[in-house]
Amino acid sequence: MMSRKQIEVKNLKTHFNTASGVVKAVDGVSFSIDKGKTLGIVGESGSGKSVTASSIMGLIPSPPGEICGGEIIFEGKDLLKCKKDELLDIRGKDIAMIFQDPMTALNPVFTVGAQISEAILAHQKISKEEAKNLAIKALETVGIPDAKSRYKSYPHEFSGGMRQRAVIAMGIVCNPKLLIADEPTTALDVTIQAQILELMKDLQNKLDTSILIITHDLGVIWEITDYVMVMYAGRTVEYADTITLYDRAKHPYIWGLLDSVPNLEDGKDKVLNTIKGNPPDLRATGDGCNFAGRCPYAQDICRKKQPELLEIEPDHFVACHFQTFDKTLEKRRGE
Amino acid sequence: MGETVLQVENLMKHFLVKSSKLFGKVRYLKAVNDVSFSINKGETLGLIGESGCGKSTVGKTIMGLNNITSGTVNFKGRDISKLSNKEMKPLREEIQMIFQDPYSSLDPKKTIGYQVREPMDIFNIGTDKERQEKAKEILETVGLSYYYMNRYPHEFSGGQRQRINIARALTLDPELLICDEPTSALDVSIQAQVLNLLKELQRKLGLTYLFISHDLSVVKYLSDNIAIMYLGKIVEIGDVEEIYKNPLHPYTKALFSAIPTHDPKIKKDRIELKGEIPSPLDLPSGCEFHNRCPYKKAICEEKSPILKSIDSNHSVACYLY
Repeated sequence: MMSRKQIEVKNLKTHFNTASGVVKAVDGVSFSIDKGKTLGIVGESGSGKSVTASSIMGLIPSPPGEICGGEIIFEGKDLLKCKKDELLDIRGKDIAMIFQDPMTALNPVFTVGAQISEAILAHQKISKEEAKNLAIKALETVGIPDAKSRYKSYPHEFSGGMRQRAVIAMGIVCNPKLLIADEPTTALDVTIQAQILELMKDLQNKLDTSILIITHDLGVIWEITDYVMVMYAGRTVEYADTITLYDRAKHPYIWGLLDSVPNLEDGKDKVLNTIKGNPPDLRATGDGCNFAGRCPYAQDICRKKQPELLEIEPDHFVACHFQTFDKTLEKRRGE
Repeated sequence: MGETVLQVENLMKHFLVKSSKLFGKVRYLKAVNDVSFSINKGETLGLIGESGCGKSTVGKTIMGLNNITSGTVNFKGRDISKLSNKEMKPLREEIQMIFQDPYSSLDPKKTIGYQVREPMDIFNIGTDKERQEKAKEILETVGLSYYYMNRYPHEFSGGQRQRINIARALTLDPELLICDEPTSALDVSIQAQVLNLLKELQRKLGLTYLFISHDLSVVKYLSDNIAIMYLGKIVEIGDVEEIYKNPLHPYTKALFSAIPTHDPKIKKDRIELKGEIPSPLDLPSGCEFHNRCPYKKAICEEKSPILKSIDSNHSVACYLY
């Protein structure tokens, strides 16, 4: 049987050498995405979500950045061992990326249409006229009304939601096999966010694209993903399918995260649970578990030894000393 | 019912937009259009809306940071909307504001201790030693240790900075606190810390909040009453539980249905709004919402509806009711 895996990332490590020490932005991240499925990466700011995406795209500035370990296997090829021109071929065509801020992802001095055509002409040997038609079709696909005349508009003439649609159009115009969306809705209002998420689901059904979506919003995760990877301080702490994670999350960090979101169904007297303290300084992470400093269940071993990512049930991975095959931790109330 | 701390009536704020041409037409951006509400002592009013609906302008106008175009702002029974800057100054002791971005609202070149006691220096409250003591005390109230006093803002994380902002707003023992998206720049685990802190401070000190946010679940967590704004107008206002259970205005319904689900097993029915928000420079005739409204009637294009009381504490501006 052919493997359904579109991309597999194994133990990726991306470090940055700075004047004040080595920042271990990504320090052991593993996941895979099947064809036509959606993986969500969730984590707080600075947990290494975006650096993971940039590593896949080969967009880490070097120096100071350096991918110092791991493999990124895309269709049987290790992207980290690819030559530069091979990467250029894949990037933008087979793997496309949608950036967080549609305001800065578009060039203000070129028309939206020209920017989309440029992406097509970079990868396909077709005439400018054909590229223009493809670009107009892509704008129609993402629901921009009157695409033909909008082709000639500049980014400032678009609203935030329309700009994000244009950026998505640019991403999908070469029919990518993997679409990486880095916080695609964070800059948008909820009603526009709902439209964009709906659009991404639609496109996935039509094109059978795999999607990697990065977000800090758990609501977006529940809405759109099939699998979730939770990152904390540069490492994968839990990886499972979305329903499993919602029902039976094992890592204390995720318990804390789930409890700290205000819920519309709660009454006014409810006090939110919080995770005490702040995320660790990534220059000074030691040998232990990165979450140990904030974990209410932490014991001596957590500060001394880094827990491994173990598959405790099929397709459910957790990195915690107390959540293994023979040990389980019960969640205490109110923590 | 408690005493009314803030009463805003028919507040309007129009900004003048000059044309780029020499003799071009002067236009007005109608940021806030006829907004009225009141807040009782010790209670919270949540002001919700999407970006550009004028919610921050409401907050700034109450603070006197914008000149009012028309309308009145009554603070404890006194109209403060027409006061000069000089007359406004003593009132700033009682009305304070927390801004959205904890990074740009602190001075990077001054220590935390200096910034927290600066309001007391300005109002000349107490002796030097008393100010120092009070600053220490306030920092501890918001959960920061006093030995942070000599540090600079860059040494703190976003959540800590927002605590410093809250501390600074509290040094003068204000009665009314205007919070303009105080948690939208923060991560969820840090957001929870700040929200709990605001709730606890309200209980302890009897503060009154005007809480401005676009995040509906955050507003729900803190508010007694909520007001939903669309294009400079309040379209629905009333008791928070009542509106969440029974939203009436088509825009409120669509807004609530767009909130991402809290449970991946429940798929929500979406009311998808077509189109984009019109520009406040060029407001549609009649009801502001009519060009996106699924229940549009002929009258909606002609006349803008006014807020109509449905229940004792629930009003809506829509011709359907």
